Amino acid sequence: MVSLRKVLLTVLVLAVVAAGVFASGRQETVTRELPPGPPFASAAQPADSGSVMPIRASDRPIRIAVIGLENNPFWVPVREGAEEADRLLRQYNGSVDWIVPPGDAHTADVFGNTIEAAITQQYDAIATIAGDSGIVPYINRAVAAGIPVATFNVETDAENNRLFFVGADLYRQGLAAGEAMADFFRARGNTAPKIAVMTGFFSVEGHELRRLGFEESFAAAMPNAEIVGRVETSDSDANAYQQAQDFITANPNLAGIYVAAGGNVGAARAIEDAGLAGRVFVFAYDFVEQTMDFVRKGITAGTIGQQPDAQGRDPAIRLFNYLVAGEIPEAGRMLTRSDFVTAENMADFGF
Amino acid sequence: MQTTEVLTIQDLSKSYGGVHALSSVSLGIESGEVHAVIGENGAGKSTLVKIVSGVVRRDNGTILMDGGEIQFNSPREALERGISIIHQELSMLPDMNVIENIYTGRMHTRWGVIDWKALAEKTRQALKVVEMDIDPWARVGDLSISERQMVEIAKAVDRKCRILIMDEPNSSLSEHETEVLFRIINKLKRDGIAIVYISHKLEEVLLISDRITALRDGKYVGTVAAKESKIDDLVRMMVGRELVRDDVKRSYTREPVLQVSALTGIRFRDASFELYKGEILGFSGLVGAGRSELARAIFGADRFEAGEIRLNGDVVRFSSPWEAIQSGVAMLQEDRKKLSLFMDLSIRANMAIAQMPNLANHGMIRQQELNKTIQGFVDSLRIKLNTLDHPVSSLSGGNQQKTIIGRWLATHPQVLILDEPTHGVDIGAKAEIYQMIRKLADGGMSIILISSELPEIITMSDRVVVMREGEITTILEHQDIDEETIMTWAAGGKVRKEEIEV
Amino acid sequence: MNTESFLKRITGKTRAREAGVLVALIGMLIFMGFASPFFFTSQNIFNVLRNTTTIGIIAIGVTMVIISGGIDLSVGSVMAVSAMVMARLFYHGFGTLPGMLMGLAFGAFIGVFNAVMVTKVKLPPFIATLGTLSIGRGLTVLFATGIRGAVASNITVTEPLVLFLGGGYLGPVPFPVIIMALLYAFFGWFLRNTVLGRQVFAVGSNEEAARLSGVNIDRVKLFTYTATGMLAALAGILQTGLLSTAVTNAGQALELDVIAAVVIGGASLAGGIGSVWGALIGASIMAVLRNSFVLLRLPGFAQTISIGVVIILAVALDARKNTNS
Repeated sequence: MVSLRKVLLTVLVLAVVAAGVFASGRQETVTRELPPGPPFASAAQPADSGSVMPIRASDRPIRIAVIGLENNPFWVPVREGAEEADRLLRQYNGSVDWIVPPGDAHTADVFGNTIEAAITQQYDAIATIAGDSGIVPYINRAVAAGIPVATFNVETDAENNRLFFVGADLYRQGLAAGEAMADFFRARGNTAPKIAVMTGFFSVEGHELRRLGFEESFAAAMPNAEIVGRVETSDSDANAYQQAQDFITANPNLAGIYVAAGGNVGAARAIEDAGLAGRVFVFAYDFVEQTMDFVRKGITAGTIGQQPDAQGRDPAIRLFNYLVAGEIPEAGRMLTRSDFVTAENMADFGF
Repeated sequence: MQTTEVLTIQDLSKSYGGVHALSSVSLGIESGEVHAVIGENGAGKSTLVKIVSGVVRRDNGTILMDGGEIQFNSPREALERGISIIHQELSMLPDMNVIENIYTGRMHTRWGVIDWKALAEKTRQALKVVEMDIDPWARVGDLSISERQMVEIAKAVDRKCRILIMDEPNSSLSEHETEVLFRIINKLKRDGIAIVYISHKLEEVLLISDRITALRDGKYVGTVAAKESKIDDLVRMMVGRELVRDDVKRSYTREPVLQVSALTGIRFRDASFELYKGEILGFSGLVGAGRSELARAIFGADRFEAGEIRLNGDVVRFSSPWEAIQSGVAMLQEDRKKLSLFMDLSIRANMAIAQMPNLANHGMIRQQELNKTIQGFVDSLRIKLNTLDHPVSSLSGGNQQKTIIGRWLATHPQVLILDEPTHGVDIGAKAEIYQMIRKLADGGMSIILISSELPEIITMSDRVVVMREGEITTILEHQDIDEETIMTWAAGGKVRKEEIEV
Repeated sequence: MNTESFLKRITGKTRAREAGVLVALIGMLIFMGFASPFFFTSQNIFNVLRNTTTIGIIAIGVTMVIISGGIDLSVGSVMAVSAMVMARLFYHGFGTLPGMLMGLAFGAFIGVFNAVMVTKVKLPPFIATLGTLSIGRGLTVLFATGIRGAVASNITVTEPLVLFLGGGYLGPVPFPVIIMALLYAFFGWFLRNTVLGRQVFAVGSNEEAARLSGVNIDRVKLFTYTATGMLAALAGILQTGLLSTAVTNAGQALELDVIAAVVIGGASLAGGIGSVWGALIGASIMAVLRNSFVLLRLPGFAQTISIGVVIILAVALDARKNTNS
């Protein structure tokens, strides 16, 4: 029994040592000279956002992994963007694989493991969501192995070796939302609207950035406006419905509800049920089907987009161009457009 | 062999809330002897053990060890002075290995790290004493009862124990395992360890002990040398009293209601008996004789492996208590709190539970009828209560027991099994319950009365079935019922054929 | 104030524990009446009542499960998956009634599965329903997938009957409130006046004693878990009607809110003690708290904290009362 334990232990130690030797040996063999990228925090809104094209064909097959999520309808156009990039790149000797980590949840460990798997499978480049700093060591490991990494949709503040980011600047989105709402009420002759603020979670940084950006620009543009309350919906439409009802009850002359994260459909539905369509307006984010229904009805005054298709498409194509032509993106943060889509202009966006 | 007293007990007394569990008991234990302590259930054996091993404190008296007075405040102090105890229900850590079980609290460490290698070696050494080839790394839960007991003995010896108390050590051992145990005991004895052997298996006591002390009702009866004693002597010492029996010769027809033949289960074998209409059939035996288990199998609460049960001539095999209840068999369980009462629920709910389905239309309870039924039993059983809606926990033990009796009477059984119906019940309620049992039997109900109190069995029963180690040893007719006869059959009337080498 | 006699007058029986929380609820209502002019508008009262319905309806089932000595953690995802099954069937052209029945049946099916795991496979209820919690959530995404590519999406529901049941009114009263009231009346009566109802208490109070008294334990558990599954499915269907959408994240973390309501209402997690009326009061307290914090413009985190405080206070006061008596 004791000797069996000893044997097992010895085998285990040998295995670890062997793996270590093998791994370090492997790291030495794969090195590739890559040109340095743009400064990490530099930002720009590229003119070709969502329409960037491959520059030239590669002389060897280039395989790119795009690691995303499918746990909510927001990701539908992102995935479609990645699939479009795949179609385009196939004509240039490239290809894109859309990968959803097991568990379909946005946590650093599952994403980290998926990045490691992509390194092992010798992808030529990786694009990934990078919401929290736990993912930084994995990104740096990929880059050290000669695989350039782009991030998209959301990325951590912690500096790392990724080449560039494609996505919205949530704080700027918030600023844009504040201005859009101020414009909206000014156009209706209301310079002191009462509005309520809903966010997903106070503890989620991205939600807070959108909320704070909004409150800053809205207060600047409409100093007489009043915010009657701030609540968290837990991204749930059922919660948002109840909270919207409560806001309406407590504030008979409520004019608008800003929903920074999930819940805008519930809030709009509550306004509709209360018979207040045309008097209270929802300001939302993203182009989910049910959200667009309420935009069409005019209950949701408008929704702010972030070019989800570009988030799935652009990282892959820019990574391809970098590998094949050495083209360096113009900034570390390649921001997508924050379009304010309303009932009037929705046709221009394909709705 | 030395014959010095290592432990001297003088005038030891202990009472629990006015009940004398032990009064003025004196006893001397010599080193190198096996000293058996015998007595009926409740004679005071366990209390004696608990005081000596430091689990409970004595009220009066002195305990001398090597001539100096000792007073233990915890089992740990007793252990340190060399008194080890092996409980009937071995108190071990089943999920840990043998090493950990032997060295709990005394783990050998090197720089704060457990030195498993040294401990394993020490464990092997310790196990040599009991001549057992047990893997020190084995999980104790995977060992047999006998092996576990040996581990406990090894642990005691390793702690340099001088007095080893064994409480019913062979209650769940096979004959072969008992032989091994006795061989080890003799070996320990030769090494000068004093062994206090608590048991009520008289023939084995005679085989293994040097001296035998009997306790009865918490009092010291006497000490005899094993060589000069017979089982009959021991029984007389244990029982000792002349019970005045209020000899009610009840009349009933010998018309069998319940016929049990060759019933065999996990804790009983080959049990056959008949229960007549209107009869009170007592079941006597020592704790662990398998009486409750046999009754539970008849009632459908446990499964049985072989044999046959006939009710009114028809073969029945209840797969659940529900089926038994529907056929007119009811059973009052022995452990009121654990097996009978719904402490949070009302007295009404506690009484109604078994009969409720029969007082309902399509699952809807006929409340008025139910209340009438329950009120009837509250009155006839004279249960003292404020309102039926109060939780049953608000009642005294006697009234709780009556509530449960009411539960079973409500089902109108033809066979009523009562397992220790007067446990934890005050004298007044006891008399009322006896009266009620007689009345029910007079009314034609057949009653099985399981009891560990001999006086109860003797005064109440028309006939007595005696069980021992899972087997029915005899069925006594009314005129043969007396304490000594029952005790002889229960404790060792059937002397083993095999002689165990001493 | 003599709380017991007060409760006795309105319910005809004495239950000290419910009386305590009912007084707390009434205290909150009086306070809110003074604190906010909007609180006692009929509109707001009906809003609060409707906001009680999701937790309130599911709490009936969970109360029974807890009384019988079990626990059901799967209710939130049962709610989501049943509604999603219904919405998906509508999407594929099922009729209104068949679709709703299939949703309810799916909830009942998961309840049966829970019961079988507990009674036959002998899993602890915590583990069994933790498993179905996860399975149900995964199935929700599965059933929501495939309408727009390979991604889960919320499904819009337009069936008028479903919209009416969840979002409609009868006079000024939201329809789900009426459904909840009927369910409480029925189950309150059921637990008191049927054999099965009384056996639920017996099983939770002392399972072995119940078996030895002729109670079919497995049947009782099959009933409590299946009823809970169906009630969760019903709550899911009603919420879908209210939002006119079956959402993938419906009922997320709801199981804890439901257990909180049941516990505030006086049920013992050890089994044997509890009542549906207590659960209703517990659910109402939580709904009033949520409403109050928006009306009084208090920060949202304070609401989360206060629910925790209420749970601890309610159970702690009860424990004290028990040791005193």
